[in-house]
Amino acid sequence: MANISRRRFLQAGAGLGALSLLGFPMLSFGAAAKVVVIGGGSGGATAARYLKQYDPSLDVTLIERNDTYYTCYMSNEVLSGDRTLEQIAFGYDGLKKAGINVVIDEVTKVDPATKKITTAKAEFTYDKLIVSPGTDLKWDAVEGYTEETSKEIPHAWKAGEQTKILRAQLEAMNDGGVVVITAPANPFRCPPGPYERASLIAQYLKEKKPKSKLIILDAKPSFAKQELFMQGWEKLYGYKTDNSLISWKGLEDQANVTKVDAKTRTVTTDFGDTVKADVLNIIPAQKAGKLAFDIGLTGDSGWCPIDFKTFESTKHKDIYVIGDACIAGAMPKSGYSANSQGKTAAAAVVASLRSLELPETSHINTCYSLVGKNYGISVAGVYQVGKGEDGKDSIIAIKDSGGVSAKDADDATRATEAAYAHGWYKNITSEMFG
Amino acid sequence: MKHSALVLSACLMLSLSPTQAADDIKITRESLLTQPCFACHGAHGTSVGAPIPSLLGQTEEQLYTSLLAFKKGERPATLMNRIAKGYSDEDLKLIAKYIATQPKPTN
Repeated sequence: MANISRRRFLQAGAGLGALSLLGFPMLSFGAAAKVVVIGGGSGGATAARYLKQYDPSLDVTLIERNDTYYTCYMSNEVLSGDRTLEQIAFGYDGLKKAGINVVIDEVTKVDPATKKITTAKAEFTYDKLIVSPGTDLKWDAVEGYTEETSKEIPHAWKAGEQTKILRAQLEAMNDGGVVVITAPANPFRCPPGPYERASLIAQYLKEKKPKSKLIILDAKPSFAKQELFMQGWEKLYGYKTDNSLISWKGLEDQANVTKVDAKTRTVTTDFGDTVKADVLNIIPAQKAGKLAFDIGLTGDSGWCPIDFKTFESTKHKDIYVIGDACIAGAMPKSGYSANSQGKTAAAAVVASLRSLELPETSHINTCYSLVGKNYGISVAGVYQVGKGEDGKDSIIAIKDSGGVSAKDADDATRATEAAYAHGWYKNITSEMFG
Repeated sequence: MKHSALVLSACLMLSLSPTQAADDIKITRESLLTQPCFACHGAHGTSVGAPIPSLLGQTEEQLYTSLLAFKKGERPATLMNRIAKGYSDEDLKLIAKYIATQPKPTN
């Protein structure tokens, strides 16, 4: 076998040529597959990174409209004054260094039929597209609350300018003022977020404006990590006493806010009760980001149905939806979930392009919440594809795993979890943007 | 046969160049199981966020022993006990194996 015959060589070559054509029908001969990621938040940035990591030869483009990304997580520390806005800001140089073609531009159209993306300045084509469109606010959910009024009455549910407005209002408020936060019904981005926000604003008030009060008006009968939050509020903010800094009213207290008068900062509940605020933070109900609607990726619920294993849209082939916009079963809408989903979607895209089998997938979510200085709590979950309660395919939490921090934990444990929250923030942002 | 294997792989590289050969792509059960861990423990398991510990630098055996201890509640933890319970012993072994083979940070 020292001399391989020319005939055999040609046979081998021809065989492989055929294999290539069969195996990778969408690739032009010798060219790298084109994968485009739209949305440079937690989901998109992670997906772009992992695409390159799984297959360095891929042509990966990330299209994002802003050159700076402000993480929603830890933005509550900007409100309390523990952190500056710059400390939650990230650029895309790290992704560029990883070989990703980063394009700062606004996507105006995606045509799933021709696999063409139009932006304000250019056009792109793709073999596979991953979208991480995030959430949009339902402006019609609270009467009188519009994009225009949100400049005076911030939602601060997208970090950046909105966070700045709310922080400035808290700083300008007199001691003795009333802060009102309205929290939406499920599902929404970052389920424990409104309560961490209430906690950290209460921390600021306690230190700087102790005569003030904070009221949460909730469209839900209960909320994430409620017992742990309330335990922390009792310890730190006099909750359940006559002089409590925080009060919470839920659905059963008829606290579902349906109307706002922007001029007087007065909200009205569906039972006609009114509450006047000095600083008003309305967190409206949410839906998938506009891009998801424009492409036709959303279902009746306003969120995007996906294949639970691969995150490929069930509406359009070769488009994958990750992050807050997708319907991911038991996984909460969080930055951590989006990160985990981005990794899986990247693996699914590469596996599909290479005609490889995608092994059984697995996810984690961890949400730390800060209740005060050196006081952290968490909820964690491990997830896999399985049958949901209705017997249909879903992403389910693995039985007997996950859950919230121990209720009887001592001060040292709460302090450790607060330190872990900060460590987690450094690691997840460094993994995505570093 | 060695020569024909060489020629074969040369052909494969040519026909796919610059695209990587499918053989080099490692999408495994262990990669999918382990990657979510890195959101807390840092890229490739190297933590830059103290006090969260790095996973790198431990042997497969050490990692597996720790993970099992977390799962059984034999090792004190704030959160890892809740996480470790989400995996079979075999999964934990795969996770330990994958972490032990991660590249060291370049800087």
